[in-house]
Amino acid sequence: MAMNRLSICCLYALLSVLLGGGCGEGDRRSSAAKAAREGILLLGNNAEPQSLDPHKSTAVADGKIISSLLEGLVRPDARESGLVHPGMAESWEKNADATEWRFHLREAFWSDGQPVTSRDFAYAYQRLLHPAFGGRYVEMLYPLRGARAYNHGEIQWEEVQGVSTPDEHTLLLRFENPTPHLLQMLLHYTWFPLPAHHVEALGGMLDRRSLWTSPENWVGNGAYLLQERRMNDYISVVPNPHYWRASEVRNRGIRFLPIVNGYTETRMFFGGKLHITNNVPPEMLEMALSRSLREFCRDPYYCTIFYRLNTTRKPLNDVRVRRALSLAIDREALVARVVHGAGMTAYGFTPPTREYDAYDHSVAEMTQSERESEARRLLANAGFPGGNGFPTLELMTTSRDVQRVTAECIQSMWSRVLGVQVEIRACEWTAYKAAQQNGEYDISSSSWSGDYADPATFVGLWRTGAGNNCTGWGSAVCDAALDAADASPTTAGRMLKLAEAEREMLEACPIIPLYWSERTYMKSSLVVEGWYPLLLDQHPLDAVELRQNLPAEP
Amino acid sequence: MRTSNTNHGCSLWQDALQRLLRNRASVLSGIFLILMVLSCFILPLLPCIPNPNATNLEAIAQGSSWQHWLGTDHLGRDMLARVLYGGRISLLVGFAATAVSFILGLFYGMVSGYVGGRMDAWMMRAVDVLFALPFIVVVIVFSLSIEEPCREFTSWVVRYTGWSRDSVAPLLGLVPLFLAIGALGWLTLARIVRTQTLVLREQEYVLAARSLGLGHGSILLRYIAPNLLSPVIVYTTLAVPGIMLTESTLSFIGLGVKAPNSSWGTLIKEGADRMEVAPQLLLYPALFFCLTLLALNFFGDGLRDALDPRSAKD
Repeated sequence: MAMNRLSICCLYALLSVLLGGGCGEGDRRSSAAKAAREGILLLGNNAEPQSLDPHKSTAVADGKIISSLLEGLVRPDARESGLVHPGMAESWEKNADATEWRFHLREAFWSDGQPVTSRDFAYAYQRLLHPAFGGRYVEMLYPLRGARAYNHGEIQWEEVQGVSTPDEHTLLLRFENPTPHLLQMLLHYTWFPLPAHHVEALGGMLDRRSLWTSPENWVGNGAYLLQERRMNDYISVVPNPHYWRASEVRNRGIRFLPIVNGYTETRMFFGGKLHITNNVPPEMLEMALSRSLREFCRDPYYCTIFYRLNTTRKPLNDVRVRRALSLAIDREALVARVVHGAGMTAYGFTPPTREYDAYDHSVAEMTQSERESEARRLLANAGFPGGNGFPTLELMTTSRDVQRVTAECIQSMWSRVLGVQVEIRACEWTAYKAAQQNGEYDISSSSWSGDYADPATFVGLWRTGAGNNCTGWGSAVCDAALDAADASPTTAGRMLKLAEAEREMLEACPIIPLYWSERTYMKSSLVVEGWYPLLLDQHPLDAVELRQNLPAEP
Repeated sequence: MRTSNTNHGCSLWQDALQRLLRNRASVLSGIFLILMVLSCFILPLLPCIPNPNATNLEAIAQGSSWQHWLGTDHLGRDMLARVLYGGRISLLVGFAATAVSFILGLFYGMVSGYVGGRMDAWMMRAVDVLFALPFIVVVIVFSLSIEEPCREFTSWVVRYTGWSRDSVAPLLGLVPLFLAIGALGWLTLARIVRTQTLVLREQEYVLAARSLGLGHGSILLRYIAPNLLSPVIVYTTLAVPGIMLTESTLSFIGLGVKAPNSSWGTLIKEGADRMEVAPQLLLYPALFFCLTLLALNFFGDGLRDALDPRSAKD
């Protein structure tokens, strides 16, 4: 241990010499301190966004930027997940069974001075649902009456009853089924409006290559304006003077830095280049826990880490093979040793809550050796006793450190328990996303975080052919249970039906759940104010204030 | 009873060897290199060295102990085994890629210099063009484009020889890497060889051989090639460290060796990520790598001093 300390000291000494003088968090010359004086938040944001067009993106990192550029009917609370405040809608009312919601829009403007009207919302929903557009996240809008039929090309937009605009400042949303959790869903960027006049002027509704999201063309209604986008460097946004709450925006801009490597990111944080990081890599977690660092944050998170299996490929089309692969993983060891306890072993997909719990208790209660012998038996039944004749599969991960380490660990578990060999392919983020969505993988290391505080945001993924399903799996029973859940009048009944759908999915095992993750990151607690732990990680960035108590440079 | 070396006639090679042996640094380096190669290729065969890819989540990132001499990494894999296996791959890439560039460069330069004239001009312009391309970028593109054929070749080998995939795949997986590095590393060598050949072909003994009616092939093989060897050997020794560095650069950006196999480059990358938490993960592979590079450089230096004809018979 003493040796360890000494060598750490030596390394730091060497590093600080190399980097030209140590620069701690409080260093006045560091770029974080400079940005804090200017009121600009430096935020680690995982990866370069797929797109800033809300209808073309599915990644969490994109969502954070989009939510700062556009505002929906409601906006999130800074302290509590699930609490909403009026956004573009000044007020709203619903009917008794929550199938019809009427929103009254406020007097607000796009950043080019045009008023925001109910038609901008209807235009956005039509664009995402348009059968020729190919939106990825369409399921979010499926609760709207007629939305699915329109998306499948069965009816015309005029026949869709879900969205109507009685006048410029009223938006009427009608649903197939009761949607009491609608306000939660409205926080997601699929429900945001688009500047219809502007999108039309720059190529029209269906132009997927439209440049309306580039900084020089950007028009939005959110708290910020897109200022500059530098690929793999940063995306910077500045306050939008036309925003209706412009006077309440607490900072003077945000810089989103796409840093995939958690080690790099954490090192940048301690080198004074970031205010808030996106994630702490596993080993640093251990260090942060043992030294109880003030900057270290560990928040609960509605998120599952899992592997997708491509069920259209042999031998993964055999449910016995899929179950065997799942059972052979020692999740307890994985969570304890690789993730260092920042998570919970998962035997189901949706993180359990008070009212919802669908995970596989029978598997959870087995001992690991029982699971392993069951896995070997299943694999032998499937025709690969001891892994003989099993082809080498490819395990696709992003270049993210946790994912790579987890993959190596599971690779060795499969080899030891089942005699199954897999090759790890670490892909750059955009390539990874594309391969996953096109089904060009065998096994894909994935994660899913809830878009709203309801199990439907997890279970809904596994509808046959859903945009984020990507496994090729589907079952009529699961779909029927999901429909029944939507139709169910009571919350308890809905939960039961959702759990039924999830159990059906877990039985068929198109995915291997690994663990329910916590959110761990670093935050300059001396500088950043107005950032609180949130279960859904939907931080309203305009509420973040940068304390400027650090003395100015002469 | 030999009294003194100077009393006997001795060839250039014997003379060079003696001068090499007198250089203490290069002798030590040579011994170190031999030991390193032996330990990387033979030690892992012994049963006391565990499987470098076997994880043990009960013992992660431990310090040195009797069981794990160099400790364990972040997944509980034995560091000594990983460093030795990594060295195997790094050294193999270093030497194999050097061999590829040695053969290409020697042949190309010799033909260019010997034929001369317009042919020489064209061949050298081709080298100039290749020189103008950014080395790392071309290596990346080349190794990616021959990856697929090489993978097919691997499965072909597995199918027809019946060797286990585990033992073949890590080594054959490197073929694109050293083909790519070797296929671009020969340029400098080709130039050196060409210049030497230009000088040599005007020598009296070559003229004599030619006037006696010896064919071009025999002249190249018997008179020119042997006289080229000393600069070529020196250059090659000094090129190996450079190539090993290229391999580690490629592995560092994730294009070299595939996980869970390791080379010194990947080990150093993994260690660099974790240096605050477990500095030994960076220290050991970096130490092995640096010492080997240093030894190769010293040895190459010694060879150059020993083989330089101008410093002969001091």
